[in-house]
Amino acid sequence: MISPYLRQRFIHLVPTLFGISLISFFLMQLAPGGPVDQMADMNPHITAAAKDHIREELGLNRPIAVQYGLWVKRMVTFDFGRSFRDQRPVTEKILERLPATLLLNFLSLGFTLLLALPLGFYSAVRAGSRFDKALTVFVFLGFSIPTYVLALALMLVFGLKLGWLPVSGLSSLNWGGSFSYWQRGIDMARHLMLPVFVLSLTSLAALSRYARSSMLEVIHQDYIRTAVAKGLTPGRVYGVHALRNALLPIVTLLGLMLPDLVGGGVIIETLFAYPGMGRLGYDAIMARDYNLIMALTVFTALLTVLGNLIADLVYAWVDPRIRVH
Amino acid sequence: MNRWLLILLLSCPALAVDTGDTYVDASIGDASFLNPMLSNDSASNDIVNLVYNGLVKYDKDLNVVGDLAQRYEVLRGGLEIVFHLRKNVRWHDGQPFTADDVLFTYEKLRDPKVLTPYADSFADVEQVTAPDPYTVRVTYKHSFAPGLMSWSMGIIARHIYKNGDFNTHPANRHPVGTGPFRFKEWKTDQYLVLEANRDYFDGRPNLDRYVYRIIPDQSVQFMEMRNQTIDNIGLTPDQFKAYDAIFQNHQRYQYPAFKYIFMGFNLRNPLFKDARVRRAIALAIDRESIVKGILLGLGEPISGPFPISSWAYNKQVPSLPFNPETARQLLKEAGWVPDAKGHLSKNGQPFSFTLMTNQGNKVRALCTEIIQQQLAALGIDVHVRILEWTVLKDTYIGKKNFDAIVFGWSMGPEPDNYELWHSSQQGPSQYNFCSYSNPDVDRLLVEGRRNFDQKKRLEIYHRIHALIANDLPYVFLYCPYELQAIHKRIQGPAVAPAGIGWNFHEWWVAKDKQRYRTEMMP
Repeated sequence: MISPYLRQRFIHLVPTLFGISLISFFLMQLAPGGPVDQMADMNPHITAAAKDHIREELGLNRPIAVQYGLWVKRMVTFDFGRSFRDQRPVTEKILERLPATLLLNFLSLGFTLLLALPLGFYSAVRAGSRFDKALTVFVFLGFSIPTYVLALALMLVFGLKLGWLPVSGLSSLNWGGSFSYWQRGIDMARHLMLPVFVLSLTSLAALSRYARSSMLEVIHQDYIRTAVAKGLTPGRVYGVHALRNALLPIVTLLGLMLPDLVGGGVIIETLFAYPGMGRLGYDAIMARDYNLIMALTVFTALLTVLGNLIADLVYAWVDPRIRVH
Repeated sequence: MNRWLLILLLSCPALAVDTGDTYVDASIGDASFLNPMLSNDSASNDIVNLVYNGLVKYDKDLNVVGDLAQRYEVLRGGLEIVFHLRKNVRWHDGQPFTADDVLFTYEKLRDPKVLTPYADSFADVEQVTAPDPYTVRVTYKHSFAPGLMSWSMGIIARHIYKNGDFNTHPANRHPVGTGPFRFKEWKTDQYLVLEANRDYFDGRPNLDRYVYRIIPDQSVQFMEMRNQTIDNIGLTPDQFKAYDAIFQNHQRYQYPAFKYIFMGFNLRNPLFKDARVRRAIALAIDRESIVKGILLGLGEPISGPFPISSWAYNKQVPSLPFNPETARQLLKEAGWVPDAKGHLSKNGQPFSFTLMTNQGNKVRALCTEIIQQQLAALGIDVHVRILEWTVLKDTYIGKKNFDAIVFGWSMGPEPDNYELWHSSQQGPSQYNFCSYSNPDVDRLLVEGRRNFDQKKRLEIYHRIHALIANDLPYVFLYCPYELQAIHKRIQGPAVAPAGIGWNFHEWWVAKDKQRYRTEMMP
């Protein structure tokens, strides 16, 4: 069953995405230089004429409007073109990165949720207590430490001094024949520990604060007082009645986090030599790899719009009051 | 008698060298094309150089010697080069290597559809022929000395590339070459793995495996080195000067790099048209203190347009001394007089200009600051602007929209730098962005290209060095050292004029010190 509301939302997607692609295409061209200029940085034996020839071959000498027209034409058949850096299909390059990115982000999101929600809710119930204050200090500390300081410090302690965990990368070099499937899993888990921890710690603050304030709001409501007056146990009052309602804003937040799941953190990925989407996007921008930038933009835009939609739908589903007719 | 000696020599190993182990290298960026004609970044070149061979190469003393060619002859005053190819070379898939592959490589270089940036190095070639399967004859329209070394570019296999689109060919990611290492695996932005080519024509490499790890952050690389998880690392001067204890498992090496750093003037700017002003600025910059302060002494001041280890570098040309007094004098002669506060001006116009450099290079940024300070002492007002690489190159340098820049050139041992100094190379985005023009230099640059006689060339380039050093279109600052640390278990690295990797396929590790077992296939 597809409701008219849903259909309408989907129809709106098309012009939104079109607009985003148009703006980003022209914005991207405003940045000086192009894909070919990145070649052989200032090697005097590579002449300006040779570079111009390559530009001509790649179709980069045509007017921007024409280039955009051709891009849209290809897009209709979902052909995102080839990367200017290595002539590989852009989609292949993105799909290659997606699993590693999803793995890292799902793990850290799961870890964050697992910690942030209980901590946030509990400190709301005990608002003003010593626990609440200590937690506030801790999460803000985690939020304020620059990622690279934290990451390098952890590498130094756990990688170098204690030797418990690998410093960077996604796998050890002794792969293939000698490692069993099981050992590979353990090896990868060991590599993931530090990046997941760093990533979680930085998002812990925001999420636990949200959880705390949303719970705080709920427990001052009349129906909670009623529940307490009825003589229900605190576990039932907070764990069932309050929790359900306090979760609602979190759902919206999670919907908005969908694009973050596939987008990556440039700093984290660079430090941990992690092969994710963040580095792909960053390198694409630095290399003016237009096709790749466009594909990533459209992809992220699509996910943002979808994330909003899903958040709305889930919201309506969990909260009967705001169901749309 | 001789036969017995030979048998004796063959039966006992001349050198007790062990094979095995893996060498783990680290790089900041990933490769793009593993195809010698398309690769244009240092990571791709690192791999391509191990997987492919050219017809010629530099030996440890930077002499041009045969590689896939057993030997070569330069005939008719350089109008013709004949390469006599080795007969025992096989591609990594077992097919024999012949002159036909060289013809194919040349065909592709001239194919306009191929996205190679190197075609211009072969622009003067008239014809390439193969009189027999092991001889290649190249004729030139006019003699072109740098042309010989252009044949050091990797030769590709016809049977691999003959079908399919060249630019997107699968072999660009799974190369089949003739080199000491054969390609095994590439995990994008993680690592590349190569294996010893046991049938290499120059003897199998002693190391079984070569792993190229992509670690984008330099401090993380440093940590991996301390953790002994990488065997080779390029170092910054402050890393190089870190405590000895940090390098307990690694040996540090230093040698002059084939690059130099300079401050370039825009000679179309009226400020810098006067040679006295340029000389004054050069005299007011203390290059010794730059090398000591920024490079921690790991570099050398230079006097002219060649890396210090190049044979073209003219040691007779004295490096300009640091002499602010003479600088003031020269500026006065040129009409620049200090006001009450010491600021220089001429006809009411203050002496002020912008010095630019690219972002992300700490050493260059520090350089601009030191220059700013030292020129302030003369009463010259310097604004420093640090710009993103592409912005600087495209919007400012390419369009000659700059006053002065701090910049660097990396060049090979071949000293031909026509593109940098010839007056015909001043167009937009060309490399003579300073707009330097000296008819004598123009003539010598052409002569240097036409001449194959090493003695004559030496004279020509020494002369070019002296002329440019006198004209000062750049203030030549310094030549940095290449700084590197290699794991101590690796035996064989030795610094030579060619740097350090020239005998890489002979490096080895004693059996009891090997860290990676062969059966552990990466």
